[in-house]
Amino acid sequence: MESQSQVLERLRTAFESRVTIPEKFRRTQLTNLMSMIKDNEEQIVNALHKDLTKPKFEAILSEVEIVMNELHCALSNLTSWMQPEYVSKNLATKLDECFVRREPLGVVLIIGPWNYPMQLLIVPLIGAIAAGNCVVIKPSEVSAATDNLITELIPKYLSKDCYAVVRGGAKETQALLKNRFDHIFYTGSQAVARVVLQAAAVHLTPVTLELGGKCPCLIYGRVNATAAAHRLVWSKFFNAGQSCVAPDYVLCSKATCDALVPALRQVLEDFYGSDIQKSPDMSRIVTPKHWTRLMGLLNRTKGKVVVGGEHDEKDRYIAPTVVVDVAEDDALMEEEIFGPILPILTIESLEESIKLTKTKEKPLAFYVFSDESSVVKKVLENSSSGGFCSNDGIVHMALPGLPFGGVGNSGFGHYHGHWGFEAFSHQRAVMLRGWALEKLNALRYPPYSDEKLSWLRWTTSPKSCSIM
Amino acid sequence: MSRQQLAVQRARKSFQTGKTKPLESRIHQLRNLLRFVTERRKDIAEAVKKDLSKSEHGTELFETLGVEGEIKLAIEKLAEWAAPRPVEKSLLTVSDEVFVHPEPLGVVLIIGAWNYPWAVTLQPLVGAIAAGNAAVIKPSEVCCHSAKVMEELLPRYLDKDLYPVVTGGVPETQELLRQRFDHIFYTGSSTVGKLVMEAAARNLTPVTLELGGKSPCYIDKNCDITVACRRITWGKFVNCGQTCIAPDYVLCEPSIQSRVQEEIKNCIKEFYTDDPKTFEDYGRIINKRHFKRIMALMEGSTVVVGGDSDESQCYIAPTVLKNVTGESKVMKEEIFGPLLPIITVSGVDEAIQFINEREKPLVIYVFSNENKLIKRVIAETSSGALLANDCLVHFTVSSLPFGGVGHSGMGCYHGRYGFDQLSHMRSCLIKQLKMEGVNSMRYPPHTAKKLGWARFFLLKQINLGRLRRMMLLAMFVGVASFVVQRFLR
Repeated sequence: MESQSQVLERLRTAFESRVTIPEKFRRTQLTNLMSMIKDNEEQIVNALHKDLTKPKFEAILSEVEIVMNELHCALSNLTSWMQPEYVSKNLATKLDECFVRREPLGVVLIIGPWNYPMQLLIVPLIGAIAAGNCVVIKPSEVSAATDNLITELIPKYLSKDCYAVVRGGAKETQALLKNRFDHIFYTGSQAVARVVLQAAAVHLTPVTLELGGKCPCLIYGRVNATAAAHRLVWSKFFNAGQSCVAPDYVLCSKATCDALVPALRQVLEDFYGSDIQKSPDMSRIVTPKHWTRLMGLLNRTKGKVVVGGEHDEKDRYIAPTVVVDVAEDDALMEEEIFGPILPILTIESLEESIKLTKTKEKPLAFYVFSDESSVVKKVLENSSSGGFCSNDGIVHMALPGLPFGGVGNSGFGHYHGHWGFEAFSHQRAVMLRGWALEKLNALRYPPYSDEKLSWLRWTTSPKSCSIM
Repeated sequence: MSRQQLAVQRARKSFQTGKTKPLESRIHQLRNLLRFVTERRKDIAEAVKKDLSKSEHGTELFETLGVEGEIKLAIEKLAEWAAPRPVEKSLLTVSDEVFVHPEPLGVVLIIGAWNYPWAVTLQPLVGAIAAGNAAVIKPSEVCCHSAKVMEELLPRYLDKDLYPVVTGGVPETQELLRQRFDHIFYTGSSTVGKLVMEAAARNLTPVTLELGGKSPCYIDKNCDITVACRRITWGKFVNCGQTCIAPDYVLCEPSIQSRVQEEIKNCIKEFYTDDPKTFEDYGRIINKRHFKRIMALMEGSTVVVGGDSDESQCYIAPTVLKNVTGESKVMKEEIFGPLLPIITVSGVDEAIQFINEREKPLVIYVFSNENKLIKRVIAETSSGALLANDCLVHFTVSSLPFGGVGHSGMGCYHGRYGFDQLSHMRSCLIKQLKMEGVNSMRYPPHTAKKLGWARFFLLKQINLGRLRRMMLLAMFVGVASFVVQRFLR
């Protein structure tokens, strides 16, 4: 079995041989990746079911289709993404060629999480391949069946010299991080992100961090409670709440809460039936450890459970649960929930709610439900988060045109679509000067003078080119 | 509470009032910064003269001209840069608003360097202000006169709370780095860059690192060697070689080596006279420590031009070295001084190999008449930037990103890049609570039929342009067939 350093050396040699540079190579790899997903859809769905009891529908939508969509986007646009970008010049540089070239960084590392083990590993991979890098892929060992599948499939479809899967737990990952990479892409928690950043600092390696946070969901003003409840339930309990962009908690007035709770209850029944544990459309908690953590939060809450609360340790099942009368210092407000528990805090005014969210770390997503555009606008302008979505949840991250990433504690850098290509590229400024006009250059040579200086001011001003 | 903690706290409180949000307030601060640079020209020039013995013209040319240009550009373009940026939609979001909203990050820390104390501290500040942030400005203590002037005079023009200047040495900088920022912008050495990144890791703070490296300069035998040497001489000895993008060393074939040496010697005389020591437009090394460091680098190489020095003045003459190899002392670190080693290579192949054996530099220079050769160097090397047939000037094109890669840094700035670098690009999807019927295909209970529809609708991207073109084409065909039927039968 190859050691980590042997893998890295092999990939670096491949990168230095410049095999990943031509567009044709990248297209072939992306097309092969597409075949990998298409040919093995059933195995992928089964692995996800084994890991998270993920319903087939969710697996297809959030792990297969979204990846295929990104692949289509990359294949359709790769040629234009790879083109040099010509830029505007000032008078002194009018006769020169100035452009920005997108170049691969080298050997990059992608560390995936366990909640969407295909999507959150393969979508960054698409960006990395499109940008012409060699990639070390580290799937999460927590989602073990998917880890096995990825390890088996990647070498079958992608160039073994350029893309390698490295497996293991915390120890192996720490060892891996000691190596030098040209970019590290990490999706996961803040605690591990700090470790990743410290390791990257040693080699001055740039990093993209896709983290999480408590994504608030504000419901104010005139609102269609039924429609809101549908979308809220769907986005909260998708993957049993184990989504980095799931609405974590709700803030609304007492009246809204009173209208919302029965709506939530009804929608839950419409979606999953009266015995949710029997529904094939509800996921499970990924491991017993995570189940215990969530039950701990539920047991410590001082709020009132009004919907759900049922649980089954053996099945790693927690029913979609709604808790009201939750205070700001409640156990459910301590950390990112990452589970099927929805606390509702009643705060009468929108202003007070906004104020509360400002006392917390910047989340990955920020949600507001309202039929009043002034409410939406107010929240948008008085908050900060990775992304923002009004009147729905999660779906903003499915659009390849939008950069997907965090800010503050929820991370930095972003990807999806063109942004993924950029995340794994170096934007190299290129300027090709001619030999002529050396007399013009004399303006800048010593001995310096006032007259020379004033000519230079004029010719190098960005405005002077608009005269031409 | 330490002075540093207080400054950061005040900046944060001030930022949280929201006063930097309106574009008018940012433009107001930018105009004040412009006034500072123009009204205080003399104070700035005097400080730089004391720090680096740079002439007044030199300071204006290399420090303030650039800053003025950046400020004016930011003022002119701010509305465009800060506006929401629309993006491509999917079939299902056709009726929604989808855009990227540039937003301020919060409190930014700008750590300046000593070689161009005004340019590399104020240019990032322009980006920070334009993007709506507060910024703590930490000028380098090595250029102590410039730092003092900045500390004393900048608060008279800019909002004292939003943009405090915090001076100090290593312990003060370390204390600053213990505070929490929303972005750290550092210009300086790779060694300290690692420490900055490590400190930033604690708070998960993103960083921009503008570092350095040994920027190679390849002179092809097929080029106008006279003009090439003029441009290289200028690029090298500006600021006594203390420029992050100075051509660090020259690579050329043995056949042109003596010509190159001769031309550079002539240019040095032309630009800096026979006695550069007494010439106003030739500077000094920043301090004794760097003077000693640079002098020691000459060991083992042969001086062909210059070589003389005066420690009392920190003066080192414009110097050219030969008999230099990859193992020579002068090739072990970034020179950052007025020593120009010439290394002979058999041709562009060896030059590319030589360059690729080393860390990625901030810039690669190549002088050649042959476009093919230049394109080869571009394709087969990596660097922050590449400039053909001149030195330094890519820095002045504000539409080009200025930054490094690998050990020469991460992130970039200038012009719009500075604004983008210090903004958060927030993805926004504005939906309505209507059209709930369409959404139902994604809700449980899941059926194969719903899945089929969802696969088609929910994620497919549409090319609106293509759709429009297809509709236009259909219309055209319709009209054409109508015309044919009606009039041409």
